[in-house]
Amino acid sequence: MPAGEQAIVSELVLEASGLSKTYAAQIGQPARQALVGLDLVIQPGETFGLLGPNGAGKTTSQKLFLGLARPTRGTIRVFGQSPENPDVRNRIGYLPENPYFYQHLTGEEFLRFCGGLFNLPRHLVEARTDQLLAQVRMQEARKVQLKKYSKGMLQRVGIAQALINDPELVLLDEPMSGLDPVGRHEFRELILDLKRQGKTIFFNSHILSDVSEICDRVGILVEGRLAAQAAVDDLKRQGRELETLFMETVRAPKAVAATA
Amino acid sequence: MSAGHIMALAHQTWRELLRERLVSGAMLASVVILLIAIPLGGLSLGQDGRILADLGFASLEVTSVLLVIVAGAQMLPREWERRTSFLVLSKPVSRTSFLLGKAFGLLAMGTLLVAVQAVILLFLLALRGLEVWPLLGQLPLVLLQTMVAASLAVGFSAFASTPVTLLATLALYVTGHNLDSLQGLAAQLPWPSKTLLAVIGHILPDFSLLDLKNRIIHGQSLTPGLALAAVTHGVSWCVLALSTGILAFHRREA
Repeated sequence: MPAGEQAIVSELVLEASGLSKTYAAQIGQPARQALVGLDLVIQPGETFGLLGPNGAGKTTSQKLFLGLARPTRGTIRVFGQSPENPDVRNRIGYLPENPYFYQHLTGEEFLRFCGGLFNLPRHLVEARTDQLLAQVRMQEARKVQLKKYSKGMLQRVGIAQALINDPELVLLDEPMSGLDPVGRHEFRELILDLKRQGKTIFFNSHILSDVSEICDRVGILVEGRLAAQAAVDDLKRQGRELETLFMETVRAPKAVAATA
Repeated sequence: MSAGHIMALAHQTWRELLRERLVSGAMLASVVILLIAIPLGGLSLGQDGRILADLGFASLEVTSVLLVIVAGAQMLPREWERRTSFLVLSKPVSRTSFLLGKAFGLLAMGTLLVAVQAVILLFLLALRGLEVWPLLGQLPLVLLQTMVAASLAVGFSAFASTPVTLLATLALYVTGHNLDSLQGLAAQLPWPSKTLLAVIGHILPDFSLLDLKNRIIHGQSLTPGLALAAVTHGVSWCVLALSTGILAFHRREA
């Protein structure tokens, strides 16, 4: 195998080292430490679930991985580069939490707009738009403005835009929140399909059943600290429930720092 | 920075503004003012064409400038508030492209507004028997004023809230039209107020330099020197305002 090829094969998708983020004090609000010393490595093809109560720092970590916020301390490399380099983001798809998209656009206009932001050729954007709208079962609503979409429909078109560039890394922030059971089931199937395609998936959630079904590995953030990491298969082998690990970790955040 | 990204964002912004009531409301208000100006023009015997031209150009300018200031002041704060900026900046879009795309979309909207109003105004003036060709020279200057106002609003909105941006841009626009009065006032004041006002008068954008409608309407020619000074001044302020906005926007975090 040529040296260059070797380098591509062994490239880490995401590497965070001592990552901390403190939001500066604002009028009426003290400074807030959102993330403290996060060390994390995500391998190609891995599905990683970041769990934690509300305000634990899950969304902040994704913002740092995307270069939307800057770390106070520590380093992040995404595909070996700084996430502030726009070229890195050609390889990433992102679904924000509670997505609020441009409401005046229709579903297909929105996907075309997102495709344009990747400088994809027009014919490819058209083809991907048709394919993804079919995949998320939104063909019938493709000409409807986003302001008329339900929460579930917005999530579907949201995942479609996250996949418009056929990304290697998919970041999903609370993708299941607000979905009804049918929507959650469909979304789970979609993520499992991405996993079968070999995509690297990193998602934030506090829905433990989804995480244990989808993920290879989980991390639990408590008050900005990665208090535990575990491989889901190891937990199953040990007969431990993810919920048990989660509750133990959340209840004793500073005492537990186990890696199963 | 990518031309493709800027185009995509400008197109999206343009489409968003087109579908907003603010723009159609501003257009309607402008037409109403122009239609009111016709009977007003009849009150002044022999001068109705000039009054109509005065009122018409003033309405055209104020409506266009106010619209781009109001729309520009909301533009970036709304993107942060609604988190649509997260979506765009999570793609391979630089912050420079993002801001320029939004600004160009707004400038395109300002241009459309000026063009539509200008067609209506010139049609009304032609109906009144006024020679419209000499008046065309004022249109690029109205457009330039609109562009400076839009650039200032977008530049401020990169780091300030919507109300602060609105106030600051409107203050610059109004003061910029009255720099002569400001300098006159400065001359009457004791030091250090005199020096302070004089300095302020020199560093603010001079909108009166871009407002040559009285000169044109009253038949004086627009010399190349005046036109060049106006264009240089206007374009320089656009570049300065947008560059400041880009620098501030690069520092901003989600």
